Amino acid sequence: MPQFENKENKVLLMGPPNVGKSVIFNHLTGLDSAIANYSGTTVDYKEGRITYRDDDIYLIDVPGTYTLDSSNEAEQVAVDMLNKGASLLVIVLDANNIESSIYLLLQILEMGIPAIAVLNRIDLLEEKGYSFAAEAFAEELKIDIIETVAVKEFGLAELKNKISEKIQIENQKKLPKKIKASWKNAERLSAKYLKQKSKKAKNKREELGDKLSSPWPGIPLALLILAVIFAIVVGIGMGLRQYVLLPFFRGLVFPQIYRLVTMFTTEGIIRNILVGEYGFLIKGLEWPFALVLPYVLSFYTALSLLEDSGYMPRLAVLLDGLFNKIGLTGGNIIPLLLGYGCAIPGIAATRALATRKERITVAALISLAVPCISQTGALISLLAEESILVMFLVFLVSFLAIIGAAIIMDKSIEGKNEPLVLEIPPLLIPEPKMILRKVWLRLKMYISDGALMMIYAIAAAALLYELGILEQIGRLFQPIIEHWLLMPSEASVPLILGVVRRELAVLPLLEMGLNSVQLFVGAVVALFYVPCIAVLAMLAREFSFIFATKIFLFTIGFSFFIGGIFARLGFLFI
Amino acid sequence: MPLNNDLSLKNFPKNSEAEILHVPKHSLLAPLGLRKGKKIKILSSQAFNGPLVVEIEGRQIAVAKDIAAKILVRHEVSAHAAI
Repeated sequence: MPQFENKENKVLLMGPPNVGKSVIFNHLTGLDSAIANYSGTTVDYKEGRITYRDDDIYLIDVPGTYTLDSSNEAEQVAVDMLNKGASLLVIVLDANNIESSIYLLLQILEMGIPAIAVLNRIDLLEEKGYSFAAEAFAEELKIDIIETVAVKEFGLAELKNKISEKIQIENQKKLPKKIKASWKNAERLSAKYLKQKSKKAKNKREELGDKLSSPWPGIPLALLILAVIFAIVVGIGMGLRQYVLLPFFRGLVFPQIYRLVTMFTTEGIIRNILVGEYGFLIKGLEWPFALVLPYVLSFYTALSLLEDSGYMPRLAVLLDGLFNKIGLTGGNIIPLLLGYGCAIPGIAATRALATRKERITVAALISLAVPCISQTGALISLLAEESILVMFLVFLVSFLAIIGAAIIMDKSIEGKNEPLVLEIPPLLIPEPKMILRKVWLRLKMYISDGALMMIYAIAAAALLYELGILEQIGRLFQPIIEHWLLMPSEASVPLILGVVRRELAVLPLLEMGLNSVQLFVGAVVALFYVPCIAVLAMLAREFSFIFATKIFLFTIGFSFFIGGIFARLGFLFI
Repeated sequence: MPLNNDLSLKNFPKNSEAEILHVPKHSLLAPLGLRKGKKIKILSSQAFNGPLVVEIEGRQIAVAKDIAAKILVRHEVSAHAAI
């Protein structure tokens, strides 16, 4: 339940999807709502406080809705929030698609709550050679209107003043005129106030946008773009790790740590916990910051560019035909791609999918076979130096598993997928400031949530290892690890730690001197093994505790099953 | 081309303009501009039986062929006068 629900001065920020509500929200509140150039980025409400002079104003960023006749769970959230009422509505209109924005505005104004309209993206409207008589329009509807270009922060200061004015000054609380919300009225208003100044041919950027979403040359370009992205993520990641971070830690930081620790401790358990086998002053720095962080940085730079340019929906359109053949729809690529960063935003993004069947399928695919960027970084550390071929094999296995699992889930879950209807937003050049901000946010989140968790787990492992408890637990797993997976018994450590975080199912394998087959088996087991604790909690919250339990049990069973089979196949070939 | 039998958007040639006669009930079609009387242009038809990409008043929308089959259109006379 929203924290601010019963507060006075509650302001709802509403509008169609991908209009820039979150950009406005972030600017007004100083918070960080997720932003991208496709519909359905905001799938849940987010609350923030604006303090203006002496008043606190509570602003709520509501998920976008094309209309109030909700078509997915994210839109239903918006309808529910509106039905609970507010002191003021800020309705963001898409100047670029004014007619349908007016329809939504009329629907929302029927609630009879004071309102400010925000006409955003007027730059795109002007670019097309149109103008909209905003003042006269607002006059007819008896509302206030502010023209903005949110990504460039144009008009936002004026909007902030207007919001506080409407909240604070009693006589400003005039009610909007009631006009029946119908397409006829929306079309009439749009025709009355929207004027074409000049007819402009498509510019280069728009032409490129069209090319990227037609099969030719869109498909070869998509392959090229994905290859470049992959090369950037892996190349920059490996480069940073190899030439910057590892030399920094191993050359400068670790010798100092060794020196200090040996100065203050004698040989024994305490020293080993700090700098021994799982010494958390060493592994606790090296694993999260030298091995995983570079990939977090390179992946989110690439993903932010994809998101903000508007390329993701184009990819969805190109892939829809192929995806249909395995029981998915093109739009599913967005949560899946987000899942390659982290499963949690990926699963959250499934709320924008049209059917429950699609939601469950995509969430299960992400949990089972999509490695998050932390795990991918760990897999590259483990495999790339040993053999590039093994690394590609692991990713091939991941792709095949996604395809296989998608087909099986399509056949076994009742119901049909909703055929694709997707808006293709204009192709935009990402704002460097926005990209930097997004990457910085992701890094901050990785350090506060991911890296810290990893350090705790490593500290616990160091303690349990030195006390001999890890070995005891390992003995329980011994039969299955030695006789079924054909791995050394110490490989039980990653399986225990892997429940906490996905990359910890991989990293302890680094120094075990495994042969190629064992590396491959270890990597495959880690790939399919339990998604981390946080993901299980997310699944329980989004779907049900039973669903999360099923995923937990299935991933354990499946990873061992498939690992054992690969172990036998592998040793046949050697 | 037999005009009378060819009313479905699905069968319309690429790059041709048409006027929408009928749109099936669907919560997303109307707000995306697919409404009776609107001019529609087919930009591309995707591979592997994928969706059609159409443009209405400068806005681009991908519509699965199953849905496009139920959208009825008629040729814009002016757009075809040149052929």
